[in-house]
Formats: sequence, C-alpha cells, structure tokens
Amino acid sequence: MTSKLEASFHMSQQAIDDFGAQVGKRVPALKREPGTGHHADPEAAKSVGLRGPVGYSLHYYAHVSHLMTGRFGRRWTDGGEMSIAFIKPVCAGDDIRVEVGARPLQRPEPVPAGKSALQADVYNQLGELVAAGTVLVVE
Amino acid sequence: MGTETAHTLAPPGEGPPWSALSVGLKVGPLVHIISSEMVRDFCAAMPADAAIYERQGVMPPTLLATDYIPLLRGHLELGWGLMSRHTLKAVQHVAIGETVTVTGEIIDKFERKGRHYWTLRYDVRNARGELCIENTVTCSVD
Repeated sequence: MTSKLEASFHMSQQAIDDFGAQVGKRVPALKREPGTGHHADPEAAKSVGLRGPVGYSLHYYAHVSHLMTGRFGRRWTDGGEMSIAFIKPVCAGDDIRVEVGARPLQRPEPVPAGKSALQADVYNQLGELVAAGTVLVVE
Repeated sequence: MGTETAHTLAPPGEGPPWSALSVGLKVGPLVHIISSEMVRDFCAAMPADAAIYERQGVMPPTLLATDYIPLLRGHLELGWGLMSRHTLKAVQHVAIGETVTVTGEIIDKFERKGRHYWTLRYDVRNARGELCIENTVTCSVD
C-alpha cells in the first residue's frame, strides 16, 4: 500500500522534560516541579524498577501519527485510527526508531471495510521492540 | 530530593487510590482554544515539523492525548504506573483556532499479574459538539 515510513530521535532528558511540559502549558496547575517524578528523577525511576527516567509513551506515539499525517494528510486527520501497545519502557538516553509499514501486519483482527491497515513499530537502540500496533487510514 | 532513599520515595498523592475508582466515573470538561502556538510548541517538543499542520490549518491528532492527566487529577492518584495501550480515532480534524472540549469516562479497571490498571475513554469535541477525536488509554498505577 505504501513504502515504509520512518523517523528516529534521541530520547534525552531534555526531550522528556519538553514533552511533559506540554500538559503544564495547557493546564498551568499541573506544571511539574523540575526534576521530580519517574519522568525526571533517576532515584524515583529506579525505585519502581526502571533503568532511568522514563519517557512519555505518548511522545513516540505522536511520531507515529506525525508520519501518517505527512504521508496521508486528511486521510489520516479525518478518519485515521491507531492502537498501540507499549511493551517496554523507553528511558532517558535511548535512541528511538519509529517505523510504519516496515513489516507485515501483526493484527489478528480483520481490517474494517473502507480502511487500509499498516503495522506500526517502535524500537530502541538495542533493536528491542518497545511499542507496536496498527494504524488504519481511509482508503 | 533531600535525604530520601529510592525505597522511601512515594508518588505524589493527587487523588483517591485505584481501589476507590469507580467504573462509569465521568471526568472533565477541559476547554482549549487550539492555537498555532500550541501546535508549534507541541511539534518542537517531539521534535517534528509543525509546517505540515500549519499548512493544512489542523491540530496534530495526538496533541491533546495527554489530557488524561488533567482529566483524572483529583479523581485518581496516578502513581508511577506506565501506559500499556492507547487507541485513537481521528474522526474529523480539529482546525487551528477552534475551541474544543475534552471529557472522559472510566470504562474499566482490572488487576493483572498483581498490578492495578484503569481504562479511560476521553473524547475531543468541537464547539458544535461534534466528535473529533476519540481516545482510549489503559495504564497501571503501581
């Protein structure tokens, strides 16, 4: 249906902070105290079994949607769907690669009529699959 | 973080515990005016090219996906859990400049492998009350 879509970025602590700050910009009462919580404090992250401060899942999720917007435009913003399972945490310092349409669809459910489906995958620098799911666009 | 050790750290208490959460709880509304500045800020944080959206005059479909956090504020202590799944249906685009309202409902809570999870459905509607984006998120709390 389409050639592979791909994006990559470095999940630095600054990137985590910048993405997390978006909520506080919309709802000022929710501005985080810098350096706190499992998204920013290494000790807090380790206390719950994480390697380090954890990135926001919706951060790399947003990249899947961005790739789809770039390729499909209104077919994505007016009728697109995605469902992504988050398999492993992404932590500060990880390098992230987002791929759409790079491998066959893993979805067990049938594709709804009038839609086309693509596999969406997110990998870390070790090649580990950290998130995976399906995106659907209007045909 | 002072003298606290990793094992004494506790997540910030910002609401009742998972055990008190009721399926059917309705949350919101949050009201936003979607501005070009919001779109540019969001894209800068990704990072991604905001021009794709500004040329079309539309909001990135996931821009308000993190609204589950303010929606649940005071209703559930989110703890230091992790997201397990997110589903989004972009029914129709949100235009830059539009006023939107976000509301949600807890549609499930369950325990799996000793962890506690909740599922929230939250919708973005435009000023005409039309459904624009339907989100469903499942997270653990511990």
